[in-house]
Amino acid sequence: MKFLLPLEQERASSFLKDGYFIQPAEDREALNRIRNFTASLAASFLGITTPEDVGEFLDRIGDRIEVAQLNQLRLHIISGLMAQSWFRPAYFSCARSLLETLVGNELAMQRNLGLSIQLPKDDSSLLPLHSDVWGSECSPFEVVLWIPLVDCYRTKSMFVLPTAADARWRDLMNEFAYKGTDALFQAIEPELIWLDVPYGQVVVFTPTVMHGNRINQERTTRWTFNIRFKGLFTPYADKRLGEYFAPISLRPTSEIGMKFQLPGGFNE
Amino acid sequence: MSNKFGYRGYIGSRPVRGVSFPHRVQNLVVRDYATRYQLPYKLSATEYAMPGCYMMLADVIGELLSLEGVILFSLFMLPQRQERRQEIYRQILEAKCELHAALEEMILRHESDIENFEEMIQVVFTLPQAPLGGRYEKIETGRSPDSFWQALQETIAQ
Repeated sequence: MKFLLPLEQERASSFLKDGYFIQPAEDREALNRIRNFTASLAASFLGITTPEDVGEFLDRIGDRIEVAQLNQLRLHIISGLMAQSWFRPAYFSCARSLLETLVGNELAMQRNLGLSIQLPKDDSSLLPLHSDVWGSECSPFEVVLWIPLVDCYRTKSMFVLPTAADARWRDLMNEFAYKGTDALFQAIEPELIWLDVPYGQVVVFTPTVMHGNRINQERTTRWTFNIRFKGLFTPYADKRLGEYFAPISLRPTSEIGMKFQLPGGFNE
Repeated sequence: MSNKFGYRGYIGSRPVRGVSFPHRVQNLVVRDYATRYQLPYKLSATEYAMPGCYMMLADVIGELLSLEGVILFSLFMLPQRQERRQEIYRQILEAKCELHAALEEMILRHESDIENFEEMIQVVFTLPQAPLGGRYEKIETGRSPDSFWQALQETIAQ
């Protein structure tokens, strides 16, 4: 029996069918703040004043930077954002109600931040086809909130294999044991969905389904953030509560329950 | 001029949340943390292996007047009893020190930070009551020893 509201039911069905859900950011002001701050960090890294059109600046960062500098830029931006106390609440606010619908209202959030900057034709930051639970210490109880800072489409975006196809191909995966993931990619390619996510939209996807990216063949640079969320009291794999996740919305009843003790001192 | 200088590392000889980390690995984590946060690092004290023993931690606490803080390898090396932890927090704050947990990258500088420490510890202690014991095992045998370990055991048994 499900007491979900119609909107929640709609989101849940779509998410279960596709393995992802795309919607407008719930707090556009927070998203803009994140993008503006990211652009200012990128500008400070380059030693320039932040251009007025930050979207254009991020899209065309490839005109100002070499692939060899990308990782330094990435780390500069990650540490700059993580030093801001407002950043994680702002990120969460971009999809709060969606996460609460799909995951729960008592949540753990990844402590760190993933940032992908993918220059056109750059093959240095590829994430080949994979499911996170296969090998990256993830629990299937996690979702990823994926937020682009620029319009992401076709190869500038990421691909996902929808749930039903994912289940079918997972059963055939052992046939690729000696062929490798690229052969698997070739086989599933016709069924992949490339997410079309303009700036202002956010994606929540389950990393249990196969996903990844390819060389960005578009003319502009991809900028996307990813942070994981999960139910606070759902099973963890090796990305554990503490070093990887932190509670962000512990509810008072859980606080009471965790501290509760029966009266003692009785003897048989 | 303050006589306080440096952050004393604190590593252990018991498993942390069920995982045994070699001292060398614990020291690497603590040193790396100190470097990244630009904290002058002082050689780690190593807790004894006896369950429930915090003698070395008591020594470090006794040293607080000359320290800027302590870097625990992990938050989960603090005593399991809440009253003992509260006493440590109190001593740290009264000595105007900081308590860092390197693995979890958490810092206790003010009284208000105690809540974060305690919330994390209490939720982790509660997880065994959660579905699947709060742990998702990827292989059916659970956290079994790896194949190298199994082969070693078989050799020993011969």
